[in-house]
Amino acid sequence: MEEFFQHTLNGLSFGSIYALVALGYTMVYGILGMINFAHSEIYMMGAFMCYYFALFMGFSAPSPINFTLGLLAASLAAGMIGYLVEKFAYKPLRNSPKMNSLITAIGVSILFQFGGQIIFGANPKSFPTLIEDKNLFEIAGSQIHLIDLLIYGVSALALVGLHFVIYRTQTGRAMRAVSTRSDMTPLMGIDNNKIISMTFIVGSVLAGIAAVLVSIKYPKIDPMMGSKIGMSAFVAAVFGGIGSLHGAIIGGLLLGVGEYYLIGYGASTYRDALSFSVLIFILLFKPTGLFGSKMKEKI
Amino acid sequence: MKKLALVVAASLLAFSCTKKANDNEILIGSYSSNTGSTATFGVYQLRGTEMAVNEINAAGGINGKKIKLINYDNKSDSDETLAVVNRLITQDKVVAILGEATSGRSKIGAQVAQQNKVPMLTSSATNPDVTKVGNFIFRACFIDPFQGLVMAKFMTETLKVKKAAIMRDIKSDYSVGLSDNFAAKLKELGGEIVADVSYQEGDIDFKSQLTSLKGKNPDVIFIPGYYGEVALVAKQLKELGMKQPMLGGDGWSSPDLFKIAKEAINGHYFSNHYTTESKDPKTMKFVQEFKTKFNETPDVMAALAYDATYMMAEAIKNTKAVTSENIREELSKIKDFHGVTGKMSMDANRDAVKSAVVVKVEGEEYKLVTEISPN
Amino acid sequence: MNKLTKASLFLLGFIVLGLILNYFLNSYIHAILISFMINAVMALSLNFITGLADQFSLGHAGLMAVGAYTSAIISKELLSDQWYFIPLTVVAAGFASAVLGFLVSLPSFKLKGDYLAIVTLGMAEIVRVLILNWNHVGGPRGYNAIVKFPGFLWSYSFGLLVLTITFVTFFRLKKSWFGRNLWALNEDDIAAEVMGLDLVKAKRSAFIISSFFAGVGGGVYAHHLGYISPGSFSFLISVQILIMAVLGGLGSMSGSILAAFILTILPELLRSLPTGTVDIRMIVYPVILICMMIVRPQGLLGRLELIEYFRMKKWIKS
Repeated sequence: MEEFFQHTLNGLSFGSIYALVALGYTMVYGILGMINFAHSEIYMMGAFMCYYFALFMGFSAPSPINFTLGLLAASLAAGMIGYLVEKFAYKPLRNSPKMNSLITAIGVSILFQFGGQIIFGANPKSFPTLIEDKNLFEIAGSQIHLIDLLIYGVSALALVGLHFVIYRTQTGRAMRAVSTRSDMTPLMGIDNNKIISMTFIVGSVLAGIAAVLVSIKYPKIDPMMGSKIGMSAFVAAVFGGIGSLHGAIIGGLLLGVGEYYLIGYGASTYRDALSFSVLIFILLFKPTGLFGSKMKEKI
Repeated sequence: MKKLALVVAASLLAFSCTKKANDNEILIGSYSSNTGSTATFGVYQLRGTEMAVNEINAAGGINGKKIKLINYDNKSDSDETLAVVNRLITQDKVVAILGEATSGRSKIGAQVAQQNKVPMLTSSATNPDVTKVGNFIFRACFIDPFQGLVMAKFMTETLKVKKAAIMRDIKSDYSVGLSDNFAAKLKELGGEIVADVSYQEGDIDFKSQLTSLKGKNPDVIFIPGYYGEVALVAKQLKELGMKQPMLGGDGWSSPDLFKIAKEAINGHYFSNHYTTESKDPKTMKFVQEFKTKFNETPDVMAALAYDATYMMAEAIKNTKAVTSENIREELSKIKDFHGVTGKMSMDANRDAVKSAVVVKVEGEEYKLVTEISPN
Repeated sequence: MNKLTKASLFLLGFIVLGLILNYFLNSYIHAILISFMINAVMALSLNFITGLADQFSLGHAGLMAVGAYTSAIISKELLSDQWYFIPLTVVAAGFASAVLGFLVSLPSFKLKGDYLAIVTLGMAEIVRVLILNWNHVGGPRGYNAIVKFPGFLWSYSFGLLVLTITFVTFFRLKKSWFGRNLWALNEDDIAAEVMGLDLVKAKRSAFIISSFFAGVGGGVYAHHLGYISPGSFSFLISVQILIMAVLGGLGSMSGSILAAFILTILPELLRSLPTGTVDIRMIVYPVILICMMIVRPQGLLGRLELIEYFRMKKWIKS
């Protein structure tokens, strides 16, 4: 029973990370109808930018200030990179067939991965301890660390913030409008380009935050670190219903927990196969995922 | 249509231009995975090789002739490996080849080398199959069965325990090979494998595997993977409050092991080719110069590649005429070669016979615990 | 000169070329040529399903893997490593992949565009993980000592034969009523269905045929390298095949062959460039891909075959 609880906690912790990254995928799909394959590399860049920032600032001792600054640096960097990628690689293709955007996204992803290997070096780097990891308390035999609480906390905060923005602000409403009928929104006085850029930036910021949280807990970063998380997060997004924010969150949490049960109870090496099998299964029986809405095709 | 044909013809022609070998140079080829999924191995392998070549040339070369090193990146890809080894042999006309770091790609390169009768010396491929490809294929490191035995022996004789849990990296042929060999040898020595779980290179969370191991109560955890994951496992082991020592292989050997794991890795053991506190002046000099040149401590790939290069140079030095066949013969005769990773001799299977040391990690230092020789 | 004579002369030309290559060039170039042929087969196979039938497949590496392992296992275990059975094992490989293609296509063709891409990607990953865990074929250690053809002339001839059959099959299919149906579905699937086309059946058949040839490509690959491992069939490989199909032009069969030629030969030519130890090819490829998508998404030949392309140019000039 103790084990089960431990697995659940691990799964939820990782699931929150998946949720944060999945949101980026789902938001971009919702608004542009494209799968942003390069999102996992924006996550990776978030971690690396924070690493170099910490190096530049000469952070030596962990402290809450360093932690906050690191998060800010990563968010800013990730957001900017996301904005630039959209502007130069995806925008020219907005009126082209979807396949072209997908192919371009794959290109961007590979460019960042291998470019990262050349520029940052292929070796894993040790991420600085931005905040001291304290063992806080124990529940049912499982130890809860400060960093886990931070992951839950920051993720929850980010998600609440996102929810607020999407459902309670003008910009959020505009985003929802553009994702429903982008042909009509200009008539409403909405600047599609701005909204699309905004969406990319928000998604990328979330990924950057996730990257820093993960890198503090697992202090190893390398240019290929995005692809693993990216695949799983992407599966979570589709699982939850691509285009649906709640779906991404629930999908992320469920997938995280599911993977951890699988690993914990034996079949750890099939983990990748699990996420994809789940995905295919869902796509067969409920292609729109858990919370997605049926897309009506106009004749 | 004509233009196209012209282009095709021109490119094929461009290919067939082979370089004329300068008589004052000895062309040695090297292939490594400088980019791609196993880029870390290739980069360090190349650094070790280049450092050795530069030193040898600075000291006057081999019998007066300088070494010209031709290195190609195989992008961690099998197809590329085939292409580059072919290119080294048939286009660049090298007399000998150094490489590669992983057993899988070494096997591919070995087949080409053997077919063309060019000697190949791998610095770190540990799968016994590599040298079985043929009599032109040599290895400058010990093989999996030996390393597995080392840790099994260490566990039963020095630590005096019997129950081990294995945590293998399913994506790495090195890790899988070593795990299987360890399991076999441990059983021979009367030990018991209580659990065998796996992870994948690239994973960052191992709590599930570790939690399931906790319940099985092993005395030690054998985790013959690479340092990136091992460092994280050590951290999480500590976080879970587990006290078992971790045992590993030479894949742990890297400056990044401690950088990532910090104190969590202290007190664990692994088998290696050398210890950092080695008083051997050769080793100390190598570590020092590498640090100066690259601003990092060398890892095992660099050290082995360095030794392999020197070993190759030694063999070439002993030949009367620098031909592939002669080099092959001299390589097979290597006895008591003194490298930075210890003393080694070639056995009848063209594998290096050398001792392994079991070290205990203490910060950035690897402290010697015991030395196990192949007899 | 009628078409048959023209075609046979062309073929003869290749055979003569092969003889010349065997005696005048070295095994490095031999290996590259065979690589080119394998890449061309894979690119053709992907082009057919993605270019013509507009079904984006990101999982061709998985189909290739199934083909490679099938061919290798049959060769090693059932036929005791005799090289003259290679053509047989390669055909078997094709059938194995076709079966996988069939299974994948069963449920997936209700799905549109992006979804199929995801499913094929998933399929390739699942295949890779299953092979990784299958100890009998060595898992991560890979499957070794697969029999090869005893000489360049043999492997070249076989490769040429496979490539020719693949190209001719796809080319004829493209020009046939089947190909035209696919094109119709591609352009406007709702209208096509209204006209009575069975969308699902057409797409499924296309995918099965494409899978067959992907498997064949995998089989030839296995006997070319002599060693296969799950690492050789990663997502990156699917992407590289995609780049070739896109560069040539999605929908142009001869375009795929051309692109495969360029993308196999060019990197080898570039190897002599003094960029030191830094291999910039994996930077150059994605940049080519991105720029192409933005500037010239139809690739080199668009939908046209090589001959049509030159005819068109001639016509424009006149």
